Amino acid sequence: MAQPLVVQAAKLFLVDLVGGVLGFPVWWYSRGAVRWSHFMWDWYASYRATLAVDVWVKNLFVPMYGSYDIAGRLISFFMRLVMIFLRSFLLLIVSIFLMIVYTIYYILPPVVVAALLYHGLGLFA
Amino acid sequence: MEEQKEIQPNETDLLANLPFVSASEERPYDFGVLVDQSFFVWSDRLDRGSRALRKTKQSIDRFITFLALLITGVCLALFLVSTFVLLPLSAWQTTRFWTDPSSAQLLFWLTISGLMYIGYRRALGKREPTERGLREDVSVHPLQTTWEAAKQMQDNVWVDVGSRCTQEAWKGLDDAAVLAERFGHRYIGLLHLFTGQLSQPSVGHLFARLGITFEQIKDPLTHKLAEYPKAQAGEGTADRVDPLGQRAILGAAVHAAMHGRTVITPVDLFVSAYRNSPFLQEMFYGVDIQEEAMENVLAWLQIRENLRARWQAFRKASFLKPTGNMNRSMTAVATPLLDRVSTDLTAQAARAGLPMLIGRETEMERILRVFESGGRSVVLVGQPGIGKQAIVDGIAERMVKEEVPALLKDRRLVSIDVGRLVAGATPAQAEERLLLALNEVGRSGNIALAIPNIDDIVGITAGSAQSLDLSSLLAQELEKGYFVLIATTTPAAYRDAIEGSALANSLTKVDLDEPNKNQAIQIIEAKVGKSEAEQGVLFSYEAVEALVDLTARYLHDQFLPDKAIRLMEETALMVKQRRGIGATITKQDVAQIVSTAAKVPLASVTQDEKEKLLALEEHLHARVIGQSEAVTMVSAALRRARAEMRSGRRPIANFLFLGPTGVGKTELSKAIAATYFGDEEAMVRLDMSEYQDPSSIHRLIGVPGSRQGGLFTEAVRKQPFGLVLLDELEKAHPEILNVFLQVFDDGRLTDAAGRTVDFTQTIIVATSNAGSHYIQTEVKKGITMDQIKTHLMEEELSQYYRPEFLNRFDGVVVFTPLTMEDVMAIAHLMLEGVRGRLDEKGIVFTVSDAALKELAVAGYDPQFGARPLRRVIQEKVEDPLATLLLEGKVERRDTVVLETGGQMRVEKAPAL
Repeated sequence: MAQPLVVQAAKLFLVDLVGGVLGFPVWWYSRGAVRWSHFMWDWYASYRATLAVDVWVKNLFVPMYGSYDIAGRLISFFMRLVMIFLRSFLLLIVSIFLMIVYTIYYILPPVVVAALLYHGLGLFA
Repeated sequence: MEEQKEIQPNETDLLANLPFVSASEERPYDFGVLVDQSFFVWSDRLDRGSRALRKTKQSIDRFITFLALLITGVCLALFLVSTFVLLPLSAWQTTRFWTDPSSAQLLFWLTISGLMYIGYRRALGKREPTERGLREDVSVHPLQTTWEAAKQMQDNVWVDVGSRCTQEAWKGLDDAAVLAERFGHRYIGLLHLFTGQLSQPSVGHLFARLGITFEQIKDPLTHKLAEYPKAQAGEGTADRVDPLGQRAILGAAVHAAMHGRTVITPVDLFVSAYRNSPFLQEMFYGVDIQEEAMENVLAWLQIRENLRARWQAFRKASFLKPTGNMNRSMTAVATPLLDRVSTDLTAQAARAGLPMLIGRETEMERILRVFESGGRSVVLVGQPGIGKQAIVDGIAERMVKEEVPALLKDRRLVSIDVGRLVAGATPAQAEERLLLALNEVGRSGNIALAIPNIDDIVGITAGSAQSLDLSSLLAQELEKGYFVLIATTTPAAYRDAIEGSALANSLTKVDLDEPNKNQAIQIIEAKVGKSEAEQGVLFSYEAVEALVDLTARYLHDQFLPDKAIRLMEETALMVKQRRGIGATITKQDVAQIVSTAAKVPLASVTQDEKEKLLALEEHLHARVIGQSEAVTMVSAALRRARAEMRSGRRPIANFLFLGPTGVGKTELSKAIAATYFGDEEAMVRLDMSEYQDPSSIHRLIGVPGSRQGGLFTEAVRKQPFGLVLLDELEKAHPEILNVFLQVFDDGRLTDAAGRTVDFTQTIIVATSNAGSHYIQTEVKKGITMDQIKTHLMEEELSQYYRPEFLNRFDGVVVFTPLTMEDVMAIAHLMLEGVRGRLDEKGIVFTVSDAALKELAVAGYDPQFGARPLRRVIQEKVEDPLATLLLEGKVERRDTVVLETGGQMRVEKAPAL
């Protein structure tokens, strides 16, 4: 509801300006967190697509480089197994790294506050 | 475009009849509308105080962001200096450095928190339009139109309309309020809102597309604005929005939602205001912007935004597509030979080297369905220039995004260049190359082949009688089913080279039609951006429409959209060269280019020409003596044609000129050609006495199966803008006349080769001596022309022509026999010609009245009209003159006088 000017001004001051500062932590753990999750998920998805483990699994029995003879098929099969293993491993590493980055977002505010208090108070104590 | 046609009226109705909760006494500033499950509500104020407050808030916001940046920057700088410059590196190795409280660490953490806060401010301030690019069906709940009822809407999501407006839109809203205030109006109305948005750049862009300027609508808008009620004493000024204005604002929110946008732009407000105001519609109509043009321009803006969204999605998807020979599942092998004779289309697409395909969804679906249902090869059959290659490129684009049937997934589309395949090779070598290349395709397993103009490989044989044709070889290999093929060809080539061959059995034929007008416009709209960016000009909508319309009408031997695209580039270049960067291209510019390309006068009627058209009778009479009825009739028809009042599906005019020989029938035809087509020679002349037996039709339209047009059709095809003179029509065989029935009616004729020849830009004149004897005798009796004509049509002509044939003429013109005065005038005209020629030699030539009469009498023959006159003038005037000249009896500056009895008197000029 549109309010009289005084109320609008008060609202502006309290909600928009003061709230703009105080709402920061709330935003960080609500809409900010959603944005961050999206961002990180996209990042992860692009790595997963690049490493393409699923493509390799699907083609496990398809010979590589068009070598359809028995030897070629055998070599391909093992080669693919190795590649699947390597790529899965790489994906795991990347996922762990991304997970860590993802988590940092959540623990960053308390850490920052704690560090500020520790160093700030410690200096002046 | 079909899609828009379905949705647009819907949208118009929706926005114009939006049932909304209007502002009430209790809540004078709030209004809202329930759309689907969201309640769009406006709860901002536009009065002066609120505007100032908003401005203050913006300034403070900016100040806070600036302050945050400044503090963070300073902290970072201090941290860097104190840690890396002031402290020795060894300090870092001590545990105390890390554990003890220190100012450097404090600065570090302050920087971190500052960065976090800046990130937060940026996220809050970000209100970029998020385009989902999809139109959404929106249902409006009609009943809840009071705030009482609105209370029940608490369960729904409340969307604050104000917070969704872009800064640009807000500026427009503020401008609207300022405008209403300046006028001292009680309310902010729809027109204030509309006018406020006009100064915003995105609406300015819209105006440029519409091809109009603000100046053109300024006056009516100002008049109408003055009609709003003024604020009375004690009332507020411009602090509330009136109901129509409320609807306009809410409509803008609905419009944005319908287009899948989360923000409201000035264009949304513009559209909503336009839809809700008959006055605005009328005003735009007044400057030649019809409802349809407005729709199409709005659709155009949408197309561009969709295209941008599609492009971004494509770039993202193409990141994963390999651009080399190897596919993602590593099953491919190297294909050295194939690589030499082909281009990799998917790699090109992934590197953003192919244009995007516009429209053609149904055709694409059909092609993909072939592959989905187990087919392995298609041939796209369509005329040159309709976009066969664009569709193949479109398939490559989809293959990059992997939005294709399983058969095409993780493959590359490779286009074989037949030229390179056969270059420098004997047919046997070419066959070997093709086999080797196909072998590579088969072994690699990740390749879909494209062969543009597949008809090129038909007819390449190794020589001896039993040897295989290259195309049969390809067909054989196709049968084995180890590769996928997408080929293209033209209908004629398909008919001649492929139909009935082995290849036809292996290929699934997909016919492609020329895009219709709306589709072509859409394609041009999508392509226009490139030309605009290159040349720095702007196409208005009517220019784009004209490109499609005029090329469709005048360039018959080419096809859309190619012909329009080529002329689009030419027009852009021409306008830049003439008017410089930033010019807007109008319909006239396009008309000029098409006019040059088609050799047709198209640019709108100029002042000079206007005068010429109005005085057409005089112009024609300068060459044709007498025959006022004929001249008047012809002039009227030509004026109708040039002012675009005629139907475009028939010839400009069809006339039947009746009358005895030598009365000016052919002369009038020549005069028409000279006046209307600018050249006496712009004429295709057929002597119909040469078409007296039915088989002569082959000469007219060509021999069936010969793949060549006839004499007549070819002549008109080469000169589609000109006069067609059918001399002595009554002599032609009745079967031949039937051919012309169609020409008179539809303005087109199909020749033996299957090409359609266009007659819509011709004037057809048939002359006939039928009934001339009757005309002569009746005129002598003093019967009126009307009576003669009626009798002619009913009695005399029916011997030669069937009534339905006669009815197809726009005018049957009866030429009257010449009178003695006419013949004298003609003689005068002819002698003018002689005078002109002598004038070039510096000799003055005069004829006495008596001599003129003598010539006319000698040259007049009731049977042959004025025809003998030419011979008489030759004998009695030109021959003696020639003798005089040769004998040297006349010199420059002398005067020759022709007197009675054929006497030539030379008056010597006084010596200098």
